[in-house]
Amino acid sequence: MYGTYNENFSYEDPDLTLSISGPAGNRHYTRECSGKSVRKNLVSDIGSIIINPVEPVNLPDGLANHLEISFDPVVIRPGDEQVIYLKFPVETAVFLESGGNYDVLDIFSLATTKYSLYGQPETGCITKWYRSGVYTALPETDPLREGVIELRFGNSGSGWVEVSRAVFQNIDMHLYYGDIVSMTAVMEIWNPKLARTSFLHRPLITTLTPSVELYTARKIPIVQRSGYIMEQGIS
Amino acid sequence: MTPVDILTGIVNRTMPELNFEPEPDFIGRISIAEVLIFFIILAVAFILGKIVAIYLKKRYSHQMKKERLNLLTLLARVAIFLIGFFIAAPAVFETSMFFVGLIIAGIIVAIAFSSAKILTDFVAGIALFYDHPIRIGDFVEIGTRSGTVEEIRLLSTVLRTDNGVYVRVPNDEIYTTDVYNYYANAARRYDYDVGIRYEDDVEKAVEILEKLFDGYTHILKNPPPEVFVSSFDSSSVQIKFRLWLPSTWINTIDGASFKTSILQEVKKTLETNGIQIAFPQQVVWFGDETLRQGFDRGHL
Repeated sequence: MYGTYNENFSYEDPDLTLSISGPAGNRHYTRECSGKSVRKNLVSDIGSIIINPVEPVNLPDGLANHLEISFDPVVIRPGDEQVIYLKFPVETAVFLESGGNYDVLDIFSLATTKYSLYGQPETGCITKWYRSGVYTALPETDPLREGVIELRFGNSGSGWVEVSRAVFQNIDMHLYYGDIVSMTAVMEIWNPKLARTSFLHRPLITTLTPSVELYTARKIPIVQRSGYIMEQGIS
Repeated sequence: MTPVDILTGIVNRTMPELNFEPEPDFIGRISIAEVLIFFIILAVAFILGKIVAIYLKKRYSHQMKKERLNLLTLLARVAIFLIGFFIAAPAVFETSMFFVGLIIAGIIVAIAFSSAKILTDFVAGIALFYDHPIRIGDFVEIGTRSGTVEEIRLLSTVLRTDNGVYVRVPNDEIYTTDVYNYYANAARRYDYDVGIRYEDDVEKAVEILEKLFDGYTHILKNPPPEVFVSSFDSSSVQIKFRLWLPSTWINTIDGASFKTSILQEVKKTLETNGIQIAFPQQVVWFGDETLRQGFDRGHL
């Protein structure tokens, strides 16, 4: 379903129906999923329609700027570096593209959503929460529902540490899509309470296509892209 | 040559008829052209202030909080306007420093006489910008008033109440009253109680409620919902549940809807699973058997 469309199209799945139909200048966009339906009339001539996964923190109501992935504890010795794969919920955006400008027409998700609080109420932040298994090889996923994060984490502290969650900031995310939806992230662990997460501009498989991300599409200026400091603990 | 001299020259060249010799008076000798130049300089300072404010907003809107940026732009505009005034006034009115002093003194006296409260509001406004107990967009309760903060000004703060009423609260009042800011922390806890019958399985009830809450997107995973028996009442076993919700969501339409529907959903779910909400009842024991038999026969 992901990709760029220049003409009318439709997609049907047991849980999702999506289509653009009608003559140029009077097209209709319809989408039905999770018991909700959206219908929009596109009265102007449209350029391309781009459908791709975006930063998974927007739904249902944009309360969170961070994605928190919880997983079974992983223990790592000092100085070591390991790679694990985690799953994350996919959110899909439909963009109208014209002359290099992108406008968001719709965002939807087939994944379950849950919010959480990372840290204390007075100092913490609301996160989009997701529970994932820990995989040592690329897990199988339904790209409409779940994506895969390759998490490379290294322990630069002086003792063994246990990690059971990773928190990522939305402005830093780089998604790729194709047979899978993927992100590549790094987690530098400084001590059992402190770590930094950041993303790499790298697809997990070379054939994947980079997504148009919401932060790019909305042209939101970003002051600093230096990752997110997890200062409220990593387990 | 000062900007004033340049402007005077331009005006005198283009509008020589304005440069008449006025009669001396207590504020000195002022021509219409000089008055015109005075206002032109003020207008230029005003426009320059606006341009600087727009630049500051564009430059810093993503780095500074809105209320701080508003204060910065306001101060910049006031500073530029005052600089314009102090350039224009003494230079244009030449011998009229007295006039300038008179205006400044007049403003100070006017403020002092009109209301000392304006000064306290102003000082409180400055303090608020640094103390920032409230921010634009926060839902707050100040004294008897509550609402969403729309604007924080130097003298007052504007709230929009839930029913859409505009309320202006003097900053002095905010600084000296208890302020409850419902958005200051990321999450807030809500406590509820429900009473079930003594014959119902408490463990099952707790389990059912935990599962129910897990299905709600906005009931936070962490801190987790707490469901426990809080007391044994005369007619019921009281189960308390504590739920953490995102602060900024509570006052949305969805959040308000959640608060009004959660107890209904709890009752429905418990009853679907065979657990009944208790109602007040009393078990009467008869120590005397004859009394009980009489009761059973309907004689009592």
